[in-house]
This record gives sequence, structure tokens and C-alpha cells, in this order.
Amino acid sequence: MRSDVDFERLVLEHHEALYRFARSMTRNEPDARDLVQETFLRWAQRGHQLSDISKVKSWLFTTLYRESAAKARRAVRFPHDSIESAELELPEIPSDAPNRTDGSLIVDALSQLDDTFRAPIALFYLEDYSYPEIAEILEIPLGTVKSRLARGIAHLQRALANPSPPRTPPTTPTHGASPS
Amino acid sequence: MERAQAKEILTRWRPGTPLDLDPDVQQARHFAEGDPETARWLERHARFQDATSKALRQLTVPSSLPSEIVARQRIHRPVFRWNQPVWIAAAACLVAAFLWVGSVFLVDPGTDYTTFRSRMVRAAIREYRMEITTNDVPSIRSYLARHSAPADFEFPSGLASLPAIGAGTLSWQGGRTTMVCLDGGPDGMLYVFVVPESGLSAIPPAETQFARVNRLSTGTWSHNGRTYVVASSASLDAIRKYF
Repeated sequence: MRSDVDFERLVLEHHEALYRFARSMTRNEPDARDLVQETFLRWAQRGHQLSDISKVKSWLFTTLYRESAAKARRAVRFPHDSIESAELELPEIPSDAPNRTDGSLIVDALSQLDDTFRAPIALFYLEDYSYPEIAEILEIPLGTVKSRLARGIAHLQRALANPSPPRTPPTTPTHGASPS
Repeated sequence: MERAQAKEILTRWRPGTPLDLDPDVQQARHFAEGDPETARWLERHARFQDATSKALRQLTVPSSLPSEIVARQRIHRPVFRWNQPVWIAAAACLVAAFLWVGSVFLVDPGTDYTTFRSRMVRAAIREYRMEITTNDVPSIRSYLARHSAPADFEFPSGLASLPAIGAGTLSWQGGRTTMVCLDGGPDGMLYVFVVPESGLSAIPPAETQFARVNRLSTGTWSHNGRTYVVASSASLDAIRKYF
């Protein structure tokens, strides 16, 4: 582990942002918790490879995103309707939308979206990143970020306007703090 | 620019962020200023963006998460790498030799319970390592007994009700002390250190002593020939409730 960064301070500074990012991408709380723990474990093992320490936050987000994608690939896939090719149709925004929006409602709505939309949308709402910064973190082209955001947000609005019943989340192995 | 195109661009815009500087966004905003319908839509959309962002940023984060992360990292930390350069091991031996000489001939660090407490708190913060990770207390006792550390500990009922996470041993005055890690849920990890009273020049008074030591809250007490220190990053009030 690199000696110029206090691990516990790093955890205190970034665990909340990372947890909310993870929570926006995984429907259940244990998976989000596990993703954040895995991310910091990666830092302990490989953080010394980061030459520019000012980019530590981006590094953590990228690592968490990669871990999440890897988990999703390993997880049992449930059939879902692809909306990648859906036409951008902006739904009517109800005038009272801001008053009845809370975090869990949005996480539920996000879970109805394709995986490819969730990460850029989560970064878009949780952090004040520019498009190029989001592209760098998610390691996708700038144009792809813009199109995924525009279409993803339109789908999110539609999902919030017409909430569907909860879908069984894919099961992924979790590791709590208590050992088995 | 057409209305549909402007709306598409503004859909992915959140006011008051670096996205304000995006040239497409600036052009679309300019269009909206001259088109009442897009302007009305944008006003509602901006409210939606703001509410969504605020709601996501208020998602509750488990308070025990930081201590879980730190504990997990420590469990995975390698004890020693034999492939490290020889000079690091040599330097470590040299430092250890100096410390030994210092402890024997020069400095009497004191062996009362406050010194023990400070030393254990430092260990909890910096260098502790669980040698066994299990929630099975009999297995922990068995491990500690095999390593000559106090295994007959008796915790107050509040602490005894917490699930164990693991245990380790530390050196103290030529003997071994016990460290048991407990899962305090929202209070995070609790470390309980146990030393025989015979290993201390002064034991704590009859009543449990609560104190903040080096960023941690601690409780220190003696019972049946053993002195105990519980340490946690939770508040002192949180520690008191276990007694």
C-alpha cells in the first residue's frame, strides 16, 4: 500500500460518494457495501500504480465501476427488454415531480434501466463532473456518454412516471464484515 | 437548431455544474431563451434534475461502512513478504534491537493500566491484525489458549451479546495479550483487549473507566484477575451502553 496516502482518511473522504454510486447501480444494499469494500481493497493492493494522486477519486470511481461490471457479468442474467435501441421520447414531466422524488424511488427506477445507462446517470446526478470526466471514469467515448445520458434520463423519467413492480435482483455473492 | 434537438441536449444538462460550459448546451440554452415552449419545458426539467440529484445525494450510507472497509483491508494485509529487499528486514532488525536495548536499560515505560490502554489503542489504530477470523467464540478461545494468551475472558452482558469477528494476540511485557474483535453494528468494530492483572503494576479502579484515547473511545475495567480494555471509534456514550 502506498505510504503517502493515509488509508483511513481516504476511506472517510470517499466512502459516502462511492457507496451512493454503488447503490445507484446495484439494487440491494449488501451488494453496494461489498462493491465499496472491494474498491478500497483494490486501492490497498494497487493504489501505488497511480502516479497522479490528485486523480484518486476518479481512480476509485473507475475501479468501482469495473468491479460492478465484472460482478454483473458473473451474475446470473435475467431476461430483460433492451431499451438500447429505443427512440428518445421525452415523457411529460409532472409538475409535482420534485416533491415526490426520494432516493429509494430513484434507485428503484434506475434498476429498471439497462446497465449501460445506470453508471453515467449516477455519476451525472451524484457528482459535478464534466462529460469528458465521466467518459474518462467509465472508459467510454465522449459521444457515447452524451447519448447514454440523454436517453437514460428520458427512460428514468418514464420509469418514475410509471413505476413497475419490484424485479427480483440478480443474485451475486456478498461478503459482509462477519466471516462465515 | 430545432426544438427536439435542443430538448435532447438539455435533457443531459444539470444547471450549475461544469456542464454549463459545454458548447452544445450553451447553444441549446440560447435556443430555449427564444422559444417559450422549450423554456417552460426546461424550467420543469431543471426542477426534476435538481430534485433527482438531491435525492440521490441523500441516500443513507451505513455508518459502520468505514470501519468494515478498514477491518477488511487489514485482514487481507500480508504479514510479511519474503521477497522484500533484504535491507528492509535488516533495518527492521536493527530498529528492534535498539528498541529492546532502550526498553531494558534506558526507559521504564510503566506498566499500569493507562499505559496498557494507550498501547492497545495504538495497536487498534495502526497495526492490529486478526490472526483468526471467525464468529465462533469457542474457536477463538481455543486459538488464544494455544498461543498463550488469555482465553478465559468474561465480557459484560452487553459486549457478550455482540457477534465476534475474529481475534489476535499482541505482546505486552514479555507475555501475550488477547484482542477480540466484535461487530458493533452501527457502532462499527469494537476491540476488546485482555491482559492478566499480574501483567500490570496498577489495575483500574472498581468502576469501569471511560475515556477518549487517541481518537478512540475506551472503557477499562478489571474482573476475576483480568484487566479489559474495549476500544471503538464510536462515541463514549455508545461504549457506555454495553456496560
